[in-house]
Amino acid sequence: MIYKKDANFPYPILSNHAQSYENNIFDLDVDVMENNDTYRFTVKYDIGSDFIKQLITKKKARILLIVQSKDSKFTELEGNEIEINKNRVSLDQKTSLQLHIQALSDITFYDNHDLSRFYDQFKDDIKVNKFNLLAYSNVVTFDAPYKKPFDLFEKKLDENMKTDIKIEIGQATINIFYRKPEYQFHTLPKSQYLNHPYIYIGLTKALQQFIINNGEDGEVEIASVEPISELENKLLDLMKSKMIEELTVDNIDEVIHEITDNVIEKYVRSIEEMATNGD
Amino acid sequence: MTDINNNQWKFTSIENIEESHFDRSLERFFGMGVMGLVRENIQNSLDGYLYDDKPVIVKIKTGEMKATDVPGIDNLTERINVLEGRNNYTKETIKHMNEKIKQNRIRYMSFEDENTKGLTGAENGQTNSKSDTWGIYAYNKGFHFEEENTSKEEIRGGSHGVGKIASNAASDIHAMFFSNCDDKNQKHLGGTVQLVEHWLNGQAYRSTGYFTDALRERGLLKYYPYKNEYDHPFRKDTRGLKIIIPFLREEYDDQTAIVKSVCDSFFVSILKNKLEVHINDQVINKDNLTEYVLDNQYYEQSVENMKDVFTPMYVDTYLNYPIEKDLAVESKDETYHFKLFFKYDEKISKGRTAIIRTVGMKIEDFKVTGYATKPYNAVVIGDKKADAYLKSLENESHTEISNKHISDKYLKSNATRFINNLSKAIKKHIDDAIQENNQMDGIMDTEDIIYTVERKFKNDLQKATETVRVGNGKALRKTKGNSSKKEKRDKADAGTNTTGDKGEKRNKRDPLKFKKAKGDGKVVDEKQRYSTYPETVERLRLDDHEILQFDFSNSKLLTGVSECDVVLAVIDGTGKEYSDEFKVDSNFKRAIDLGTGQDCRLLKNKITDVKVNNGIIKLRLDYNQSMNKSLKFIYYLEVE
Repeated sequence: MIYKKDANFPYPILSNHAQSYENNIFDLDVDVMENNDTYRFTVKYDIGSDFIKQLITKKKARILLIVQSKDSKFTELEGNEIEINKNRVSLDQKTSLQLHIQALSDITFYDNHDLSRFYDQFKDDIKVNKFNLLAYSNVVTFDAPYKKPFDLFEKKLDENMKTDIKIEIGQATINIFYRKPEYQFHTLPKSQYLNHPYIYIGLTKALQQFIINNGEDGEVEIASVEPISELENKLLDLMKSKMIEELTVDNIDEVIHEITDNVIEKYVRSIEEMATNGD
Repeated sequence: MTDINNNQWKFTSIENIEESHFDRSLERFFGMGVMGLVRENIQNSLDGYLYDDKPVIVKIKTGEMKATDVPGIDNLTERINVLEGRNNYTKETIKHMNEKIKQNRIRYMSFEDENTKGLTGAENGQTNSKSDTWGIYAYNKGFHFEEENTSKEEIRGGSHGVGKIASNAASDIHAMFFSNCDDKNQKHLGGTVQLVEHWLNGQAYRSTGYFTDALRERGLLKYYPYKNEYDHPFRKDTRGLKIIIPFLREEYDDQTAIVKSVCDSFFVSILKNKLEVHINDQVINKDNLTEYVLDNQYYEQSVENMKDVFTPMYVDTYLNYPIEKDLAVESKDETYHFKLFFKYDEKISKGRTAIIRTVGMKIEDFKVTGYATKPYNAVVIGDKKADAYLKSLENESHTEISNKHISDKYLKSNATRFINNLSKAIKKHIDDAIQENNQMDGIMDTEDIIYTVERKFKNDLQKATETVRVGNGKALRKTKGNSSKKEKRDKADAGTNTTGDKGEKRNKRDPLKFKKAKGDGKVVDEKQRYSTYPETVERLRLDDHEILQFDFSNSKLLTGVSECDVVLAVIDGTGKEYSDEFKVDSNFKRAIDLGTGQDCRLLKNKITDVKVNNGIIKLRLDYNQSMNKSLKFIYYLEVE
């Protein structure tokens, strides 16, 4: 459950707008990356009380990330990254996130020097029970997602070519050459989908080249790549944002699956549609 | 010889029965349903337009009436009762008629036009003069249609021919009336009924009956119409024609289908303000046609799913995608010009061209051979010359351009040439659009398969701001939200005015907000109620008591106040408030004002007589055994 409305707790609580702590700061900031299966949240937070920080270090309290869309989902935060499978939570603009700090044992406050002056005379008597809430952060919600397209492919017509089709890895793009205009299906509706098999082959070629240029023994560790061309730069960005860590001759298809959005299914569906609509 | 012994319905007598079936057109029009009926009648009205600057108005009405109010109903019943079917289809139809004629209350539909000429020459009765349209309409059928094929020159005239049978087909007993008022304000009523050839009292009769008077002139029988002295729905008082269909078949009694038929076939006429249609209490005119077309109650709105009905696309194309250059189409001996409206959209799954007559009626959803699944939509409207030629190519029900009904060899091949050239001209446009939208060279469109998603979180700031009125009329903005200190600092630097009219920074908001009373109005009549922000409250629960402190020293609202009541309302984690659930008198043993050391009174949900010392309130509340210590509260202050 996310605390969205102000409430008065019967003991000192750390939140951005309760006055129990002198330095009442509990800020949350979240980044998210995703591929076809997973969301990865990178959580940054700022706690204004050393007392609370100490409790976490000593495992007397823990930080929980609450993701609330239709249901609430609690996940303990260790480190600052959390991966959540897409089939367990779906993010939309109604999704909210908040951090809670929960006591893992009964906590006494006699040595809590971060409280506001009001508590000075009562401090020795304050006790917060196990599993009670010690702090809650601000709430963050999603903005509308922004889809950033990548111009990875260029097409060209070359009627003097010896082969029907040719795929070249260029400096900035993967170039597909067609010998005849109709090979692009240019007169058919949804022709861009009909070209998906070429795109798949193009990606395969480009990734193979990427391995040759950057790998050792057919393996590339994505984090350590220094791209040599604009195209490699784009591919690298794409793979990083889809959380690919390793590219090898053996996992090229898996990587393509992650960095594209249903490329084969869209191809199949457009063919089916044409078959149904055909007169 | 015609039987004129006082029967209002006249059937020509014949020697013997030769044909035992109903008119073939009936079945075909019945198959076209509401669409066929609406098209035939509105088209007739459009052809009879009177003014260039005023739309033809067609009023379609459906309703109920007494069967006995149908003119000459007894004659009809007598005839229908003696009909004999000689094949299964005819038997079935006659049985249906026999059942329906027994009804007392029946449904009817009428089409009444205004701003039209109406029929002329009714007073001349049955003539063969072309200028007497009454005579043609009332006493002939197929006058135009069958004759046109024989001549290169003759283009079918007005369409008052086979079309009339569309109205017969809509009646359970195949009867229809037409009520005319001409420019001389002469009012006449005629009618036709389509039965089968039959015997009555030892005499054989033709299948078609006419509701008409007749006179013997120089030994020959001549039909003259009855003067219209009938009541609603047969009356027609303004110039124009009214078609009345009694015994309306259930299948036609469908307001939605009528609205759709009107929009489907006549959207151009209506948008050009050549036509306005009233369907019972609904009006479709140039100003609101698009509302009907964009209403998903009538039309599928997703372009991908428009597979049979294309009207919303046509309307969009017609209104928004005119092509400057005319479409020129050649036949063997002529060039015809069409205005073209053309849209290319990858989402379209069926490509169709609406072929429209000059009067604005759609003839056909034309499929360009081989291009029926191209992603385009087009509307073509012929000029007058093209229109006349198109008319000669229409099939009997005006729903298709074809050469099938043309028997003259030259005309037929000319028509083929024309239709092919029309296809070719549209094809060229489609090809050009496809070329333009699918460049051979350049960046490939992969934006829906290769992309990254950037999701940003935002801090839930001041989400629920609302203005709370304070008694004397000044406005406070209630700021809710979880903005952090960090941001507060940023905002403070910028000196922005986000917190509302008071222009104070958020962390300096007035710690009190005025609250309108809910329910318990009595108290508030005397006292002003304020809710408190949590930041002004310190609450500390100890073993058997709690300390509660409010600091309102910053509040202007409480200046000069020395005493108040504190109201407690329980709040749950989601922010939901339960104002009457918590009773202080049963949960607290006592409440001690730590400022004075005095006991305060506990009364239902409030602590009264609490002293305010320079804006500070400090209370010690001693718990009863039953007190639930984990409750959270919202506090209200009530001030005299």
